[in-house]
Amino acid sequence: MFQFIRPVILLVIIACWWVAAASATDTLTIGVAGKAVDTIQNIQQVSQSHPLSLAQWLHTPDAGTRRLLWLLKWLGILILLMLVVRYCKETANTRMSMNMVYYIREAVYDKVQRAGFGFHDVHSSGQLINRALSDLQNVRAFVQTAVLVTLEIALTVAFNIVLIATLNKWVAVLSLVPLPIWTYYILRFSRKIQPVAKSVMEAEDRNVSIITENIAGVHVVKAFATEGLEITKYQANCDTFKDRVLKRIRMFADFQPIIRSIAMASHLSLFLVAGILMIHGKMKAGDLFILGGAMGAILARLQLVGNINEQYQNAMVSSRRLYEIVMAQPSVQDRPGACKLPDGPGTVTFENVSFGYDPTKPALRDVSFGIKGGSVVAIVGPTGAGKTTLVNLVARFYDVQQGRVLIDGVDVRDLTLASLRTQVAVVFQETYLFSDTVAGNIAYGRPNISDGDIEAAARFAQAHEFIENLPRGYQTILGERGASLSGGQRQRLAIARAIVTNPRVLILDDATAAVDPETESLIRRRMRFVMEGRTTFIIAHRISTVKQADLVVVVEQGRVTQAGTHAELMALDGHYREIADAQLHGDDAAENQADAPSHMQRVQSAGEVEAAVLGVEKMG
Amino acid sequence: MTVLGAGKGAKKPPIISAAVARAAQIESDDEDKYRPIQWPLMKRLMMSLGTFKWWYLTAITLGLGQVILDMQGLQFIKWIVNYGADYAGGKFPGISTAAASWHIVNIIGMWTLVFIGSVVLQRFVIIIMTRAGESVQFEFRQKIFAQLQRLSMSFYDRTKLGRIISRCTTDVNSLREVNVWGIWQVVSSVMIMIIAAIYMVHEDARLFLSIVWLGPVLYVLSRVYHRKAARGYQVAREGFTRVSTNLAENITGMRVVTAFNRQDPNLDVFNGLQQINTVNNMAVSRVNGVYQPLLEVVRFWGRVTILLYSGYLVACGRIRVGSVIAMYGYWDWFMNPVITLGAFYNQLMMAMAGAERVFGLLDLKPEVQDEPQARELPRIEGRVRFENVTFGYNPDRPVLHDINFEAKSGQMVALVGPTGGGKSSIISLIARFYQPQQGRVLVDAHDIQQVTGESLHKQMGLVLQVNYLFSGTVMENIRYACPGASEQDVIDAAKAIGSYDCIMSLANGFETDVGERGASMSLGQRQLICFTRAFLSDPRIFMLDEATSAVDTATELIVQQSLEKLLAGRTTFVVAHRLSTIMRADQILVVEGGRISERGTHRELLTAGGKYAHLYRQFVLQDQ
Repeated sequence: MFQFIRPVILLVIIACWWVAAASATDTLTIGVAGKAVDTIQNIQQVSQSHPLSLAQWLHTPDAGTRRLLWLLKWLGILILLMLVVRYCKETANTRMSMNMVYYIREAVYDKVQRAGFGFHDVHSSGQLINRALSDLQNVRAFVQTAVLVTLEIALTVAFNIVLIATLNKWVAVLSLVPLPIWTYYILRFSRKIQPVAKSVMEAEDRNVSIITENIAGVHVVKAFATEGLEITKYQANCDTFKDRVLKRIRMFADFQPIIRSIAMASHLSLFLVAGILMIHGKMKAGDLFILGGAMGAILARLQLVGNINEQYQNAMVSSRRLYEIVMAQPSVQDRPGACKLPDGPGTVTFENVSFGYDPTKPALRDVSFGIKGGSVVAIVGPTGAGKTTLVNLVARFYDVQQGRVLIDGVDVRDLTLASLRTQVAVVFQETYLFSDTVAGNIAYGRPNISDGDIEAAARFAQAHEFIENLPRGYQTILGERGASLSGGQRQRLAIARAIVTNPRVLILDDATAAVDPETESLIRRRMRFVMEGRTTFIIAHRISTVKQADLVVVVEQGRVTQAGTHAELMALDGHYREIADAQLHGDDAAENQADAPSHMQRVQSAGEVEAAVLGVEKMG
Repeated sequence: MTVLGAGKGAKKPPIISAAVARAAQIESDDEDKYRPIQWPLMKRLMMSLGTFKWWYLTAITLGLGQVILDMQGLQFIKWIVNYGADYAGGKFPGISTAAASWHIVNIIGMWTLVFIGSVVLQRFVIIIMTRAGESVQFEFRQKIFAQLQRLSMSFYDRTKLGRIISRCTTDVNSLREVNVWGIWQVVSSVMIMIIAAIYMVHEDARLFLSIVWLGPVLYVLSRVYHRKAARGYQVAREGFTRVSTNLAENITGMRVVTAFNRQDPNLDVFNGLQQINTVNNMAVSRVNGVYQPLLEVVRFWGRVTILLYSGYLVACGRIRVGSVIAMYGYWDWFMNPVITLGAFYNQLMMAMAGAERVFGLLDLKPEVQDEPQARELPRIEGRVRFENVTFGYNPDRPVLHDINFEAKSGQMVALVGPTGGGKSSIISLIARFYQPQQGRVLVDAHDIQQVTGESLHKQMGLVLQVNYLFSGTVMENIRYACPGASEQDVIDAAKAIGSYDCIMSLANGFETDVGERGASMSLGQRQLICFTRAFLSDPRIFMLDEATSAVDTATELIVQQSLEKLLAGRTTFVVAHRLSTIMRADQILVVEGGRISERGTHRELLTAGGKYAHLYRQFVLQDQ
């Protein structure tokens, strides 16, 4: 936790100073007002029964009156001081916490961006987002309260006890007695209410997820006419939810009298003692006034102990998790002395490559093959065979466990990541676009490219036409709050995004699965020009896509089982001919992505549900 | 150890600031958080508390009792101080110190009794009031949910999921401020102010008049403060949403970020948004920093006046020092409600915004609804006929024009055609998700508008591309449509359709938890479960929107076989993507631009040499 405070330590100290100043001013105010009451009691001793006008009274040379006026003048000055001090306290507090949040969030963001694929395989996006947002919030809340509020509590208690001690040190001792009991009950309450509060929160989450599911599956509900069933299900949840809410209320109603009684008991006993001391002439009205004020201030502050305890526990867990992210080593890093990729035609060689996401379970075993620069390679094979893994190694999203992957004769691990990834462009299986303009998305890999180049890339990817038809053309903003595109359109944008970087090696991982066959054949025709002079990897299911490749590599269970041209492989028994035959009897026909009504598209954009639950708007 | 990245001070290239500007510009999705107070809405909100009228009345009565008891505390202090001061001042020469002390003990004793009364009352107030309020809250929740079940598909097309969720969460919660403590807050605040004013006037009317004007001043200041703060928070929240959206987006899209090596510019954009966020928050804290102490100063002004003026009154012998302390205390009692009401006004405006949306949702009329004289649909054979059907999701832009066709009982109809041609719309109309603007849809001889939705849907099955599964086990999902089916029925159905082996190969067989949204299963497996679910409900009419994405060849084979069993003997409509499916159809409808351009069997259409034949040659033959 404290490693997070270090960069803002100066701001923390400033904030602490203002907290101390505010506590001191508050206590002083109580003291001065009390002295004023004392003075009024003195005035009462010498009061005359003949009436005096206010103006006359203000100018009487009487010592009591002069002293009262003098005290009230100081009270006025204290109030103005308080105005300044409170302002400084508030802004210093915010400045400290905002800066801390800024630095931690920056560190987490940067780390997560650079951590590499391996890290993200282990941590789900939702989990990481949650950490960066709510864990950070916990740490911030803690520093704000634990450091500042603890200080405030400690100082307020100390100052007020000192104030009471100036009146009578035995009364001060007496006023200390209820504090441990009071604190104990506050902590006990916060400990007892925590599980109950948590169970209420869980019921509420469950409530939201029932609604979410119901809406996401609304066509199923309607189609099977199960509305009644859904209502029963929801009502059952509401019943538990309500029970838990009422339990929390009952617990509150049980504790509230205890806590109030302790506070009241301490007030009553102090007033009793003070009253008796007054009888004995050892205390005055103002002292009793101060006693009431000071004790009220102490108890009000101590009431915050319950929150701190809870926040402290949350913050310990949260800061450990954040620290874990910030300290994570990127799975793939530049080696010392890594060089830039030298010019070359783009040959790619796999030499005895073995790799597993979990090293004990290899996903690729002893894979070797070489590809001439500028050729088109198709990779086919069943789901889970290792096709995507293979191309991920070319872009060095992971490091191989054995063997080497070479581009133009250089081991990819000897290259700087920056130079490698500007030369290798990937179109992923799942298209991810950012909530930016269409142009911004296409230019993602080369932010300062000209509009003409963006358009050229879009034309190659068969995207120009539909982009022109969008409400604001290339300046249309995409994502949750912008235009929504079909799966095929999104894939075409992803292809344009890859082409724009002018890569030496282009990898298309099932990049046209959602594009309808008609458009796909158009893309294929255009892409021939694009593929000119680069090495292209294509992972595809459709034989029509695969068959024009210079080389077809069949991957099964992590091994390359067949390699050759379409014609060669068709002549052999094996997986390739099997799937080719199967497709001739039942592949995608003259049909494209269904024109699903919008709610279905909406449901398809996975993650939205999760985002809605998290309260985080995520861009499609 | 560089735990934290050094803040990059270098000046940003224009590309980055442009990106920050774009990100900052993206329209905020937040709905209105505040609405002015509207009486009709208030009235309706009050009416919804009606069921618990007596609860509220009891709690408020008890609560007022508690407040009055609490306010007596100052009277006891006044007694003690006056008695003590008088005794010390030698006014009671005949009384021993012991007897005087006993007098103090008695006062404290009475005070204790009053306090006990207050604690007991408070406990009942809390329990009664919150129980009533929470009950109203849950009534709202259930009404909303029931309404959501009634609303038609077109509502779900128009409304984003996030919006619907926030009706049930944020908006309902905003009503809590009114339902649970709202009335009490207003009633008790007013009562407290009146009682405090009476006490102060009783002590000295001129003293009260010299400070009472601070009340309105405080109220105005407090309103100004809450308005400014609310606006500031709104801006800050929007800025924070941008930060978190950017963060979420770049974490989710991390693979693309890595592939395009965008980490450095992304960090700059992110920090740009963070800086805006910091500035916004500082602005809010400055508002807090100015106004909160200012409100305090107004109260203090009153206190100083009390001390000064009562100094004079004491000097004249009009009041005594105990009254000064009591006045000081009553002044706080008088001013606290002013601040409470100022804050409550904001909450009330939030509740107005929430109430407006909640009532708006509850008032929506479902577009497709059972007619008042709707009949039960008897067991049907499964003929389906479209008569001159015209339909558009937006009535001004029809997506289907004058559609006519008939499917005989047990026939399989394949719908083919380009994206946006209207295939899915036809399916949706058969399912009565929407109402056609013209023409009729008939099942056997019944217009589906004239029958009850439930009796119609019980005889229909639907499987969409999105193989939607509910969280729960496979067993529960299959049984979803027929809750009465036994486990054996489910197993029999799975065996009959051929999905049994596939389901048994899952981690826990039929008891496997499908995970939220069925995420943990492959596409093919989910499709099979949906088929089994539809099969178990034994529909007369079955509709299928075939998946476009390819699954691997082995699973594909099982899917095709079970599909065949599922379709046997039922009238079936398929939005078809696979040649094998289309070739099997008894009737193919080519739907283009909202019209049926060709119809017939595969062979007939090929011979006719129209669009279908063209498509078939271009995309199928070309590959062979």
